[in-house]
Amino acid sequence: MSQVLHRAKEAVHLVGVLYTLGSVAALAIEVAAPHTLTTSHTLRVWIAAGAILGAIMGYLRTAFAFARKGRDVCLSAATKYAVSFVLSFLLLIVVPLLVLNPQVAERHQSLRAVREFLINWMLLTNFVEFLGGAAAAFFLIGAIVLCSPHVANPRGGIYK
Amino acid sequence: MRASQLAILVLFFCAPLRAQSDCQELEKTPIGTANQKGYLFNYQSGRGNECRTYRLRNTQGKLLTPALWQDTQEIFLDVNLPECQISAKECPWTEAVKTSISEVIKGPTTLSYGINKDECQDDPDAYRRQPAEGKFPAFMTIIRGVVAEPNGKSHSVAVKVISSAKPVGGDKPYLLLYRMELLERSEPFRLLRPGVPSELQGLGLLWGAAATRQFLSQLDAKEITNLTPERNVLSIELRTRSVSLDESHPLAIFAGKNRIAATTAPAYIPKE
Repeated sequence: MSQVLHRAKEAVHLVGVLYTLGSVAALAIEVAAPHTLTTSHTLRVWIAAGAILGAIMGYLRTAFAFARKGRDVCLSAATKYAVSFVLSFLLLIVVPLLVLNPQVAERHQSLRAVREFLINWMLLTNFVEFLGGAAAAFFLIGAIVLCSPHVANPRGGIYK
Repeated sequence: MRASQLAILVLFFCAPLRAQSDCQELEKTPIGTANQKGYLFNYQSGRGNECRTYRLRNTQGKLLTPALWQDTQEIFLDVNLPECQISAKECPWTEAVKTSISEVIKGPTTLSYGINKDECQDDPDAYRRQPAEGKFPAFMTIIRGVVAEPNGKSHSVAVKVISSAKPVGGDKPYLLLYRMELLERSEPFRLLRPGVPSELQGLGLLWGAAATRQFLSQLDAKEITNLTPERNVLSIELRTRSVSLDESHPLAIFAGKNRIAATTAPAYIPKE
């Protein structure tokens, strides 16, 4: 446990307090986002759980993986992360919810079979949304972390 | 044959005899409509002498609709209502019939539907039971109608289960009686065991509340594995020292590993 706390402290030191607070704010927005997308309480919980897990992984992994890589590399990766965030959010969260919407499926005959599959395999659907939440949060938080100038060029402390 | 006689004959054969024979409804709530977020289906509850009915049906042109109707004590219906073609004259009801011990009250229930069966919620008034104490009234539960399985195939199901208990004295002073009956026009069922998933084709039936060790060993002793139109009734008797009531495990219908319909079906069980 103390090792985990030590690692977390290292990460905060690396990223900086400001960008850490930015990451927390972004996570809060992503956890709240499902409330505007669906009224299914179960699905909200799945997406929010994925977002929290993805955010923790995105924060820690990105901070350590890109430490000392230089500003240009970090900003280039941040752009890729931002694009990945948009894609994962749309493809894994928004699109399945649209397909599940009966009004959309009624208008598009081709979506009906997919909708029935998603409804009949609800656990799988929930898991896809969980993965969507995790991936979107991973890339969003990762992008914020990569924008931190301290990650590219760590200052003082253990990174001196 | 005169026109009036013919009309009476037609009315006789067209009347909804099935529901009346299982539970003659004395009162019914008006047919309600759940209508949120593109879902549109009907619900209705009725009451008779010591029985209650609950039914749901999709409306024309509406797609597969997951729905769960319950109150704080029991699940009335947990089902995926199959798609109803826009050209259909009428969409079929899916129905559950339950015995009502003691008093029946009319009060708010919860009808939730959509994604995960909790996307939308209505709170219609329906007939509910008030629990009785110190008696052993029989519990009858029927589930019937058309239900959909994951590959879109629809099944016609109709099954009745009854659990009752009576004091008979002696070393084991209680007699527990169970009856499972396949009703008209239903597809046959394999009888399932709790925690044993079935990979086989066709429908499986699990009466979760009744499926105690003693009940299952009686099934084994009688070598009964199916309910079919030819062998449509199964009766089991158990003697026990004391009795408890299990209301938590539902009567569930499976297609392969997928539960496609369920309703609460209480059963008296031996108290260990």
